[in-house]
Amino acid sequence: MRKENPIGLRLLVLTIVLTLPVCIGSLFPEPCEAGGPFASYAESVRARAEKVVAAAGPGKEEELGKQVRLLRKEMHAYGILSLNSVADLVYEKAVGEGWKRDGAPFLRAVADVAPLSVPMWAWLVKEDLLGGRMQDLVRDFDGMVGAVRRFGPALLGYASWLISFLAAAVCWFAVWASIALFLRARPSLESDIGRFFRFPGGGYLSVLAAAALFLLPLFAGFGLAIAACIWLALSAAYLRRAEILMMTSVILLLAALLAGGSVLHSLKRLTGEVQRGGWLGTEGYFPEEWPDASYLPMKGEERAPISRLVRFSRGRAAMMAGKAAEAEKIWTELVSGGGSPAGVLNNRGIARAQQGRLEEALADFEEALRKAPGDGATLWNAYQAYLRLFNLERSRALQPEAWEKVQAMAPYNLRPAEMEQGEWIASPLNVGDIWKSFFALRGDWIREAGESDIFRLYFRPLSATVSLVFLALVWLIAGAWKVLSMKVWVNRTCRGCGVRTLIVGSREAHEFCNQCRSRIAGASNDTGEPDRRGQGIAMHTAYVRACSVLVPGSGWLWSGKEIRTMVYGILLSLSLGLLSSSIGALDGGTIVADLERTVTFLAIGLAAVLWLAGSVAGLRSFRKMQRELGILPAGR
Amino acid sequence: MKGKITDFGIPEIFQLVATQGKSGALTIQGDERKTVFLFTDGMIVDVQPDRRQARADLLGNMMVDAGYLTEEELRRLLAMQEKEGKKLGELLVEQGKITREILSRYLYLQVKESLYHALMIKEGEYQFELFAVRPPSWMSTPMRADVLMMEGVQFLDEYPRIRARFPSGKFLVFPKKGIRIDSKVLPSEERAVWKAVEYSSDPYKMFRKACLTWFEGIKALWALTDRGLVEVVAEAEEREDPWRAARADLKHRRRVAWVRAAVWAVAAMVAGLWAYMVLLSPRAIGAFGGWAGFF
Repeated sequence: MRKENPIGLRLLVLTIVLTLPVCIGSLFPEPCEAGGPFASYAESVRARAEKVVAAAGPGKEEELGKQVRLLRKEMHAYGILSLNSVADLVYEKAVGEGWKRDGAPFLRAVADVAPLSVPMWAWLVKEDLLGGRMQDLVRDFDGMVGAVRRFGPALLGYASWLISFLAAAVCWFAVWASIALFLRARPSLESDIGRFFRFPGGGYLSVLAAAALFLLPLFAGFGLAIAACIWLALSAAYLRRAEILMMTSVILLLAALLAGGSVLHSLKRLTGEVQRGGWLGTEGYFPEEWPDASYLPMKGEERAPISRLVRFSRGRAAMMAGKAAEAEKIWTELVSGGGSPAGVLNNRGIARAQQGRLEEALADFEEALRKAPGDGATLWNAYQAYLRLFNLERSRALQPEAWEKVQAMAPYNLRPAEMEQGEWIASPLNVGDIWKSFFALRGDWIREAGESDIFRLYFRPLSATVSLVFLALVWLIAGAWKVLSMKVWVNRTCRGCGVRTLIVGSREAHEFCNQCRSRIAGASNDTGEPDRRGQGIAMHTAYVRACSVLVPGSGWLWSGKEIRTMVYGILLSLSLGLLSSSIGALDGGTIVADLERTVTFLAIGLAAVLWLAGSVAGLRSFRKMQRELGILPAGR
Repeated sequence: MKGKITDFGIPEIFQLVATQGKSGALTIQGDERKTVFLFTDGMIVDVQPDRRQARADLLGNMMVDAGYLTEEELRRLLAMQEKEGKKLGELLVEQGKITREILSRYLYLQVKESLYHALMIKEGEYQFELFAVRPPSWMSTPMRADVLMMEGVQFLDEYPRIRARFPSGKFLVFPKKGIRIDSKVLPSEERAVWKAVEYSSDPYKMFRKACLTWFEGIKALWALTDRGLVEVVAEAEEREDPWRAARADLKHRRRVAWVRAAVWAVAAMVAGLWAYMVLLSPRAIGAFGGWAGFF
């Protein structure tokens, strides 16, 4: 029986066990407090909103329902569509008073006054899923989809989340794959370094040189992408064809990471530094500052594609603050500026109606209806205006369609039978227009990529253009190194026993040494000859085991299952990417933080399971290969 | 035709016989040995090394050195040879010790060895007697004397330079620790020596096993040394315990493995810390968590 060398492995496990709690502990910062969210609204709205928050709590369901109805009436009088802060405050209260677990009915109740709160809907969907409430799930999911379609920041936020998540996954994949491939190539590389530099000292210097080569990009302060590329380029000569494919996919994904960073940066440019409370989020959160294009990061003419949208937001803010005259002025400017979409006319109509000029308001509603005949909000407002002008014939004609359309306006959950005169339905910022301006804003994507946070973190010290050239060069150099390795003497490491063979003109058939191909196991004999092969096999097995634990899935690489390794690596990277993108949002607001906490736990669990499964299954696959080669006894 | 080597050099004698296509026996005497080369139409067909002493270039000794015979077997075969009057080569084939092909290869080697030794004689005499020589049965293709001579001259030119690469006295050859190669990719002479390294660490026996002349062998050994495949040590360093080297090698490998494990454990920790910094640190998660600002 051979004795393996488990001490190195034990050291590694001990290190992981000691450092893991520190790492996990740092993942959960305290959530931030929210404050003063209703200060900018009209006094009556603010008072009602505070009463709604106060009424939320176990045993006060009836009172909450009553206050919600009153608040909604007040909101509609000012053309307010959603007070997202109400949902946030009710949730905070639930957390503070300890009834968060029973908080779903209360949040669902306040959904009538905060219908555009995407985090609230997402939280409700999560609760429905966990509680198995299918009926509620369908309704809440509808609400969430409606909010995403109608609330400007939501769709951008989801796009931003998706890109951030994929970018994080790409980074993890690049790290995982480049280290796994480097460790796969390490034994041969170490031998060739020693041979090339003719190091004295019987192999010690080769060990140090290979480790130094690995650590060099880290100590040089290179970004993740650069370090990964260096490791890949060094390994290329010793890899199999499928592993080269893996290397190529890493390089392509790093190029995609550049593009992802560029899109994220463009989104930031579009929204400015204040994404939720800025001009984009006016419908759900009253802006902390008056929406103005001047705080956007771009200059003068560059700002043109979105300045009209910012003015729209400004008009909405004026309406919600009860400044109808000022709002009307902004809408009129927008109408005279050309284009005059239905939403602008509808909102001007509301502003005029709030000032008692119902006939002018009606003219705007009619004009808006000509531009967008089936628009529920405009139909409802026109119907209301006709009623107030006692044009009963016209109002009767409009009523069925207006009622039908207004009820179908998810996520608002409008109930015409409960609505009174003076409850106007405003038109929010059109999400489609935001996307159009996003693409109009995007200019030189390489320049924008170079300005992104992701680029600064992962591609330093290069510029964006040089990074692209660098990625192409790495691929070419790796390819050249691979071709050269077939022409010059290089070491190949037998996948089965780890013995290194100096060969030239390598083919993949040479991955196993002659002894492995001949199924010769290491064994002690009676001549007293020390079992060098047995020792080699034991050390190689210990090495693959350590690789498998630290970089799960490595075992599959050593057993020649590259495609399986790659699929596994993608799954692991996605789970770790989910972790990176979710812990970054733990302080993003209480509901979001709570959701992300769930996602973080899920991601940690998933990553841990995958890590363990990859380590064990990879190693089993490797040992199975050893058994098939006859170099490991069947029982082991 | 006869004379002194100092007056008429051995290369010139061989060239003369070859160009004139003579048949007969060329006897070269000097350096305490007497070697007879047999020519047919200017081609070397056989050689008769000096039998007065137990010379290494005698066929029987070559077979012992190459491991085909033991000393005891050789003694028995020589006794049999005296009794039956047969040639040793014939007896070896008859007894199944070697095949005819191996015999042929070693007889070629014997010719070459004898010629190279003859070329090194500085003082002595030569004598060429003309008569018809019938080539022996093993000699399927007679050797061109001029070609052999050119190889021999090359040997004289290059030998001192190549020999200087090795310890001045006797030396031993060992395969380098932990090196494995696919021998198919080596040139034929290097491959033969590489295979023979396992047979013996004595270069002389090694070359005999590889069926190479000393010059061919040492040249191939030089190439293998240059490739880093073998190591050469002066004979004084020879270990008494046949496994001592292997045990020392194992011990050394274990030590290197421990150093490697320690170095890479540190590298793994550094890499882990680095991965944390670039993917999970507040700065990194800030880059990935910016989306939360939209909600």
